[in-house]
Amino acid sequence: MRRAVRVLATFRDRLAWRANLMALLLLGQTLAAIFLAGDVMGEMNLPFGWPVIDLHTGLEALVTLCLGVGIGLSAVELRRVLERQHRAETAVSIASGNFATMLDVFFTRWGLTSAERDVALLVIKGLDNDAIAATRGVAVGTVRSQTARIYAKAEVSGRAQLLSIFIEELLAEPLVPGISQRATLADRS
Amino acid sequence: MDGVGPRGPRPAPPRVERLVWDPLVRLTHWTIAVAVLLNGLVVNPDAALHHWLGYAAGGALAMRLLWGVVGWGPARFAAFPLRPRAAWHHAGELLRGRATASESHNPLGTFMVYNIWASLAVVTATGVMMGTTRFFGVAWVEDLHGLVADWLLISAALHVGGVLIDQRLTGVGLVRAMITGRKRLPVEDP
Repeated sequence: MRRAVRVLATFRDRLAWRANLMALLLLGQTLAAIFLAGDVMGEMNLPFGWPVIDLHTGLEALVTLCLGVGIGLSAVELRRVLERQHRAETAVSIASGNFATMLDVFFTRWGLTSAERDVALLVIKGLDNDAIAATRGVAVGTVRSQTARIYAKAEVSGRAQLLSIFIEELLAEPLVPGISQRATLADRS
Repeated sequence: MDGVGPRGPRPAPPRVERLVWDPLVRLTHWTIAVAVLLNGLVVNPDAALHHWLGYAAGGALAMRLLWGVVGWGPARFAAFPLRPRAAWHHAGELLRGRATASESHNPLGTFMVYNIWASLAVVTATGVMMGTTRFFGVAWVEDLHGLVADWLLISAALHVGGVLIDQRLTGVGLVRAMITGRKRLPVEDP
C-alpha cells in the first residue's frame, strides 16, 4: 500500500515538474514568435503596405510559422501531461488521504482510545511490537496488551485479519465516490 | 482555516485541495500583471523597455487565449462561460456577504477576466500601431492607447479587490491558488 502510494506520488511530482518546464518553454517560445513576427512584418512592409519579400525575410517568415505550429503542438502536449498529472493526483488522494479517513471511521466505530489508535495505525503500517514499543518509548509488554485489546475490540484474531478488514474495504468500492466522479468530470471539461 | 467559510445551519463541508490553475495559467497571469503594472506606473512610455514589456504582455495574452482553446481543465474557455444572470446573482450574493466557491473563475470574475483581456488586446494593438510609420503620431491611436491603458489599471485594481472579497467570503485562498495552483474546495455530495 505504502510503496504503491509512494510510487504514484513520485510519478505525480515528475509530471508536475515536466508541466512547469513545458509551460516556461511555451511562454518563451511565444514571446520569441511574437518578436520574430513583428520583425518579419516590419521587413515585409506589412500590414499597411505592399508586401516586400526577399529570401532572408521569406526564410524568417517560414521559421516564424514553424515556431507557431510548434507552440500549438506543445500546448496540446502540455494538456496531456496535465491530464496525466491530475489522474495520478486523484489516485494518490484516494490511496492516502481518504484511506486515513476510513481508518478513522473504523477506529471510532470500535471505540479505540487515543493510545490504541496510535498503536493500531503503527500495526497497519507494518511495524512489529518491538518497533512499536521503541517508537512510542514504552515497554513491549504494554504494546502487546494494547494490540490484544485492539484485536478484541475489532473482533479479529490478529494482525492479518485486522489488515484484511481494510483490504476488503479498499476492493469493495471507491472510498469517496464524490472525488472520483469529480475527477472524471474535470477530465472531460 | 475551514471555519472561515460561510456560516449556515449545516457544518462546513470537508474540503479537498485540488490543482486548478496549471503552470501556464500562472506564468501568463504574473507575466501580464508585472508587465502591465510596470508599463502603467513605473516605466517611461518613451523608453525601449516600455515596448519590450508591451510585447511580453501581448505575447502572454496570445498564449493564454490559445490555451483557452487547447488547454486543460479550468483554464479552458468552456470552464468559465459568460453568464450575465449568474454574474448578477453572484454580485447580489456578495452584497449579502456570502458567495459560493468556483473551481474556475467565479461568474462575476469571468466578466472581469474578459474585460481585462479585451482591454489588454486594445492597449497592445494600439501600442504596436504607434510604432508603425502609418500610425506614428496619429491622435486617435494615442488617445485610445492612453485611455484604455488607464481603464486597464482601474480594472486591475477592481480585480484585486474582487479577489480579496471573494477569498474572504468563500474561505478559498485565491491569491495562493494563483501561486501554487491549488484551491481548497468544498467536496460536493456525490
